[in-house]
Amino acid sequence: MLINSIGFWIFFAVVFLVYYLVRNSRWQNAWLAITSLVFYGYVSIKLLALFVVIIAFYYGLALGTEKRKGNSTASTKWLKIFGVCAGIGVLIYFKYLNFFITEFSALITSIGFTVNAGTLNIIAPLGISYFTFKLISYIVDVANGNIQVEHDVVKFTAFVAFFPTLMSGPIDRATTFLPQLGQVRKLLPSNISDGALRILWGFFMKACIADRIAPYTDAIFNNMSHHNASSIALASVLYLIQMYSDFAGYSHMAIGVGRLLGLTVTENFKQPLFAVNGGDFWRRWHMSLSFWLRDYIYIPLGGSRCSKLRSYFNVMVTFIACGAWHGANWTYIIFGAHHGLWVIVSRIMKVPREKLEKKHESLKQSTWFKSLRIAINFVVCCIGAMYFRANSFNDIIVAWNKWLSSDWAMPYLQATVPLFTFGLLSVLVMIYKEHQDEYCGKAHFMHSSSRAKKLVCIAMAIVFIILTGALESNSFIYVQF
Amino acid sequence: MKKVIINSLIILAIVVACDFIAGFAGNKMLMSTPEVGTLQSDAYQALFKKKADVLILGSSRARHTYQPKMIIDSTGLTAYNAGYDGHGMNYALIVLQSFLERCKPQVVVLDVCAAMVTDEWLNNSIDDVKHFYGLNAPLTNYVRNYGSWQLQAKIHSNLYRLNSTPIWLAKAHTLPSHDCDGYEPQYGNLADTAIINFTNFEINEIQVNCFKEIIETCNKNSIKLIIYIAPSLEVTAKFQKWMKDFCEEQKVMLNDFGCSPVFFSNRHLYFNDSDHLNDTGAHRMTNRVIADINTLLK
Repeated sequence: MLINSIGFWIFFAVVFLVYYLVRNSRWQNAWLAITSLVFYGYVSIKLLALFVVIIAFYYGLALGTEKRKGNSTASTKWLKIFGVCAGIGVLIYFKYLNFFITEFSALITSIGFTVNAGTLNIIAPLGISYFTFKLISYIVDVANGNIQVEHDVVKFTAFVAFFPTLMSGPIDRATTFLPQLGQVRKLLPSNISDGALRILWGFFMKACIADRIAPYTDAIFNNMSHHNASSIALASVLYLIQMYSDFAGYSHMAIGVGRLLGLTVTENFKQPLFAVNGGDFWRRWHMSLSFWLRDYIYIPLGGSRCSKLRSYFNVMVTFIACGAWHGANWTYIIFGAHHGLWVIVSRIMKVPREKLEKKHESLKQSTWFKSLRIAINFVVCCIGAMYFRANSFNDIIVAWNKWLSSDWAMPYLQATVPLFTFGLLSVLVMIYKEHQDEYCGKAHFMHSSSRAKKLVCIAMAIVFIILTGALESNSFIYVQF
Repeated sequence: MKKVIINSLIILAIVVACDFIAGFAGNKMLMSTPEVGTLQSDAYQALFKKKADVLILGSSRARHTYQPKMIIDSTGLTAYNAGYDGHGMNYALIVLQSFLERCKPQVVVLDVCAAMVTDEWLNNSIDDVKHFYGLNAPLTNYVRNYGSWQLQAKIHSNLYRLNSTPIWLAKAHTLPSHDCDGYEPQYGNLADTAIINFTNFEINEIQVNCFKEIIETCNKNSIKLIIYIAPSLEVTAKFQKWMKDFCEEQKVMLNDFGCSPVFFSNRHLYFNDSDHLNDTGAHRMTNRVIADINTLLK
């Protein structure tokens, strides 16, 4: 049941009505927990049982951690490590075991031995990467004393299984989400209008941009060897925009649904296409994951409060983990390493850039200098997008071979009329809106201070989506993770 | 909350007004689509305008295989190729029923491929012509009888029905007009000549019901029906077996050229790609169809 399908909205209508009929936070939480589990069970009843077991395990583990907290710090530490390892273990089993088996047997074969290692028939539970990260951060925060343990199992279940964010995040933290569940959520007009606008904008990004670009990028990336360098370059640029529109579209919808339910869900994107370097990009892109990685991997490793070389090592480890989080494929590892390197390069370049800016005062305020930095970052991220989308490591080699050759003829543009008309028009609208959000504050389009302008903009956005969007409920890229 | 409700009603009113205006303007534009040889303009011709003694139905394989001009020149009958890329048996039925509202063909040439009777093309067939919902009775009836509940709910919106239509309408109105009988020649020569064997084949009930309805409609209207499987290097043995059994059960003649040795032995000459004949192959295949039509009409 995808968030952009009619089925989801019928389901949500029922959830919404009952949710506001009960005027008690306990009942609201119970209703959220039940409907979230029903939502999960709709995909697979077998995996629902596993999901419930995992929730119960972490609930019990957190209670155990709290009990031992006063008595022994060592046992608290061990329980924390156990909780983290259990989460990583679940992830490894469901997402990476087959990858390890395949790669290990390939390695053994390459050194001359024959192995007959078959892969296991494992189906990864829906949203496993998201809820395990939620649970790991919860157990670490409880052990570190950042939050109080949650005794109410219903509230805890509602937090972990919260259905709008279950499939693709954002990865909420217990520190911000659980306190909200302690209060009665009232039907407020501001929540309704804010939520509805976020959902509408999410729909626009998904249907009018991401799903319009998808046929082109699929055509190129699924037959990389048949296309020339310029087609692959164009597809890489478009894929970055597609990936952003798809994932940010989903995040907007999830945040909007949360808002309609009176809950504030963590923001996931903040105009990442306007980032000026690697570090800036990851402070704006998939923020709930990048901040998670910062807090639970990068900082525990020592962060930047150590030697330069060590901090670069910490960055690389964090970004390789970020790549691996996406799935068991070398392409994701390369994607992570690529961004890790870019963050390091950005840090190294910081000193000469600042010197240059000191020397030429005007550079700091210069629009063209900032635009140049944005453009360079954009190109690097487009290369990263190619690594992310490539079907295999071989495809990455094919792409680089083509880019380094002289095969720069006209790109493939056939059968892409909807993309290069409605799709590009929508991209321009999105860039304009993001530009306004970044530099001019929220007083435009659907957020205009003029009521008439605002209502007409909303109505026109609805008309535009229905008339030009790809409406057939295509799946989201990040649902697979 | 009162303000939110009022705002919502205003937005709804604007959207409904736009929907009404789009529907009115869209219908006017749709019903004056010129014949320019694009898929959508040919679909308009097939559903609303064309009359022919020999009607060719099927998918892209029909569209690139059977040459109406050769049939017209050889038999003296009028002919039209209503094949449409990626469309199944449901679309073929809608075209046949639309033709019958205007004229009664003497012969229907139905080219069948595996995807036409599976669920692969079930939704595309309707999605590509949904803008004619409410304008074309057979299409409207099909959606009412077989459409999913989501489609039946959404199709009442003119904006949804006309989704993406402005692009091809603009294209149709800017391209030079010409009559092309629906056939689209291909001039390539297949480089990779390997045969691809597919093992997956599962029929779709709706598509099979439409197939049966085509046979029934032809019988009821005394229209001669000839069924072909055009040559293809993409072989689905299960489909060919199913077709043989189905046609025997329905008592209709099947001409299976799916693995024809004549075409297979000269595949680089006759094929444009693994699933479609080029113009030379189409010429050869149409000669065979003309012979069959002449025999049938004797």
